[in-house]
Amino acid sequence: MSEPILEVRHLKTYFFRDDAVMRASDDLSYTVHKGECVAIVGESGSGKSVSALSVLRLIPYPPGLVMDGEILFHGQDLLKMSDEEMQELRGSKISMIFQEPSTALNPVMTIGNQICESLMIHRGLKKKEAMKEAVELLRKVNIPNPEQRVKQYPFEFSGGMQQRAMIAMAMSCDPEILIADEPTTALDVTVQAQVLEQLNKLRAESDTALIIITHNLGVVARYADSVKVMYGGKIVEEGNPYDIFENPHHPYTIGLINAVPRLDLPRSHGLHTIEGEPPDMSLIPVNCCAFAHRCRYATAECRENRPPLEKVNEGHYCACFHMDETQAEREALV
Amino acid sequence: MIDKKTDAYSLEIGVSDEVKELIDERIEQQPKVEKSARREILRVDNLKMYFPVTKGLFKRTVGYVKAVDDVSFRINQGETLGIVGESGSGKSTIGNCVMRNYKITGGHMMFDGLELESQTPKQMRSVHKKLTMVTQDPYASLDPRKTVSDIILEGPTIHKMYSSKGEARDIVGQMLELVGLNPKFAERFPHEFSGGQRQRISIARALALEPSFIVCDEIVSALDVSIQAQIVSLMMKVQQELGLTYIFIGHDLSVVRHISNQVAVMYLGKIMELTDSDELYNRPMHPYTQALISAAPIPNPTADRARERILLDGEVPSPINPPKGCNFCTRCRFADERCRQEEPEMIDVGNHHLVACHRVAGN
Amino acid sequence: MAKYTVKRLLLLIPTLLLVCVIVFALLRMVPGSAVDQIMYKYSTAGITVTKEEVAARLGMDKPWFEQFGIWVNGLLHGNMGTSLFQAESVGAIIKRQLPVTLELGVLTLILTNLISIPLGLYCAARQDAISDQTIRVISVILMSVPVFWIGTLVLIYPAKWWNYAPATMYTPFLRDPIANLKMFIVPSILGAMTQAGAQIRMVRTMTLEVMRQDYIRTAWSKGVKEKRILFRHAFRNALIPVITIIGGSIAGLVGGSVILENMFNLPGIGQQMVNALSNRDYPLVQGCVLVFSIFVMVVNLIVDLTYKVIDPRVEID
Repeated sequence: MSEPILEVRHLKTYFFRDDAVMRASDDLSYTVHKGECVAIVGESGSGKSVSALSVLRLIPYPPGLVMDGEILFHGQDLLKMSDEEMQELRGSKISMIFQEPSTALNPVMTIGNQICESLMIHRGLKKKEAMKEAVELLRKVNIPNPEQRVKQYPFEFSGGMQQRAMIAMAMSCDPEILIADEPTTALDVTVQAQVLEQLNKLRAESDTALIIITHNLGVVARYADSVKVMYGGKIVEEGNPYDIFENPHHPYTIGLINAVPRLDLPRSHGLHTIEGEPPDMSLIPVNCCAFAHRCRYATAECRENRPPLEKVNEGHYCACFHMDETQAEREALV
Repeated sequence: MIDKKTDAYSLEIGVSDEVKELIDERIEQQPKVEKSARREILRVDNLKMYFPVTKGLFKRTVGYVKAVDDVSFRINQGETLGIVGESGSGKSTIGNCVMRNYKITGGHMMFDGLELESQTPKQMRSVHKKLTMVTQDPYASLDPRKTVSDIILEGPTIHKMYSSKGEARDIVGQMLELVGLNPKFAERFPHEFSGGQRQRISIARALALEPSFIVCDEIVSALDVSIQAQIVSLMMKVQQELGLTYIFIGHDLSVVRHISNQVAVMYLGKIMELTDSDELYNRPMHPYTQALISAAPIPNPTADRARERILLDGEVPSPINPPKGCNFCTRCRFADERCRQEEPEMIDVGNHHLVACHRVAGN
Repeated sequence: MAKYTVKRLLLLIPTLLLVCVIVFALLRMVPGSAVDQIMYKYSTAGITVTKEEVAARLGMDKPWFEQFGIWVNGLLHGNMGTSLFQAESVGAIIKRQLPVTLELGVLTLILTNLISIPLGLYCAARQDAISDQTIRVISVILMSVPVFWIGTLVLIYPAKWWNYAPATMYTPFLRDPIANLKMFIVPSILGAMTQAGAQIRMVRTMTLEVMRQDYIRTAWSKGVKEKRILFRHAFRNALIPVITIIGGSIAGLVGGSVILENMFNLPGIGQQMVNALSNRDYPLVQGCVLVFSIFVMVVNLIVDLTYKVIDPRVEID
């Protein structure tokens, strides 16, 4: 494996609302290597977006606050950097694309001007050079007639093209890490496939590490080198996609995989559901498994202690007290 | 706040005897049909829905959006027709046409022996007891000032389906139990529920009318994966128990196929392919269907990475200005001169497998 | 855009005709006619005249549609009639006094925005800091202090302490710009204060709203500096609703200038109109209202065109 470029250690990002404390990311640790595609999977409220926004220090305060932990980028702690140093880093070394391209682009600025901005700030280009570069970037992400398109406003672009323009903007300074927060959720199925291919191609070409945050297990299965499954602000299982999808150990991972209808299997294969609703994060006690109230394996131990991430195989970790039982059951089924 | 926690635990509850009785009763009400002789309950022929495009100060009509253009299908009682398509495909418009939410431009719709397009608004009201709709946004469709009980009783009140407060309470209790919610929730307001629970409430509201047909318009699109599976399973369970018929509209081919007996693939207002659900995956004929299947991700890396990949170029063209010839010709990798000139007819390639493509017709 | 402007200007014609009808009709519906007013004035002077004589002299013995016809016909020939109580044509009165009111209005508007936009943006950038809190408290005070009271203070105390009083002789701008501006500056500041109080809060709220949008987060993620985010990304978007408010307040500036004109002895149209109304000076009131409505409509047009300039999404054709 290549060198690690980002190490998140024991990150605690909390949100304070009314009297409640939401532990959106609770003692979260993960590592991203050069050129790697890391997928963070979870449902809404699992804290998956917070885990990435914290890296760029884009958590709005109030109500959110990074309470503790370290985010090491090439060994340097981002949480200890000054605002100026952080601005220098954003968009040049670490950049980000967002879920809803139609709201993530400034409606009253031309696409060209929005792309130029990062080029002028980080690469010190003059406006004219930057515009030329912006045309090339749009061409690179397969936008037809880039010379005319740079002069247009976001509302003149379709959803897929807006997201490509976002990608062009994020990749403009050859970042080392690109964070994509649900990059295709708002797009049509066939356009989703195009945009993901595009992202993956650019990543391979420039050796950028890609952190994809998504709820779509299919996206993860296709592109990820490494998968982190999040639930209730914590990573409950991590490993490569083959470990996660073909040898899942955590009851939540198993449930999530079985809850997705499989297009490649006959219709008769059953759809298994996880009972209940995702928890209200401000109500999960500190020392317990967040999944305990929806888990059929849960025992008193799960409600009183927090299961640590334990090694299953090389690179495959799972946080559950009842891994043996889930495995026994899975084997019995096969 | 504390209450919410206990609710989460008590959400899924066993079906009581009362509900079992209700289900038996409803099943008896359904006409007895042999499995081999399934009765056709909805028949749609050459449905057209054009929306005028207006411009200027005086709202001049400058063109039409052909949201639904010459669409035909049949649905048997107790079965589900899935309609899948991307934005602008007209899939939701079909549902709204069947509900008579629009004045259709052309075509015929027969529901249970009734010609839908010629029903007066007053007659439609009684049809809506049998034929109802559940929509995508459980936040927008539930009146925030009404309690769950009021919401569920909307329909039964209009159709005078109960005569005393006690009966009304029974209806609410039974419906909540049927959709897997605690009957204690009856006096709460919609904002106290999560997205999935709200969708259950809108399903309970539809079921309270004792319908025989439900149009489900993107009912799981806004929900999380695990909740989506719960709702799909709920719909399938209710269908089996009550003998309901569905039109299930969605953009996720995997989900639509899972719940449907037959699936119609739509593109720019037209059905491209219509066939049995398993046949659709095993033998997709239309290049668009093939691309859709290829684009639908499969949550298994071995299976997914081994598949052939078909990537479509470009995006769905504007429905105001659809391409000449086959609607799909601008993005089709097989398109030739004929496809750009002539619109393909829908042909039956056998086994009730309908495809609209020159290439398939040629072979 | 030129085509749209012409279209909108053409639309002015039917609108103005409608305004004419309404003004004409409403005025005559008010109890107590001009005839009664003149009779009263004559009687206090000890002169006896009959109602018919007065009506005949004012042309008010004719049926209403004929009177309306005469008035509109005059308008088409650029003649707005003659004031009933001042031996002067309505056109001349408006030409002399409207510029005074307009100057006061425009100065007030410029000052309002010079005060409110920078302060509003500053407050938004320093949300909930002590400086923001202070400015917000001051803006509430500005909003709630009546103009006539603070105006009186401004007139009295400088005179008492430094023997200074603002000029009371009106000097037209073209004759002596400095003297003219000296005369206008104090009343415009007073007018701007009330307006600015409300507008600071408006700009602040709108900017904060915009700062919460996704595209601002995108700008942060690109490493854009705070100042540039505020001015390049947020301000233009926040301006869209603010323009609406500014457009609405312009009409109010002209109408609401009566008090200030009165206090600072500015011969504007505001005071003239109040007098004309209480005298039932029909031609003068009609003339003033007509000119005001043209003004308001042109301002509206400018506001709509400004939208198009600020927000490329606005479709105006």
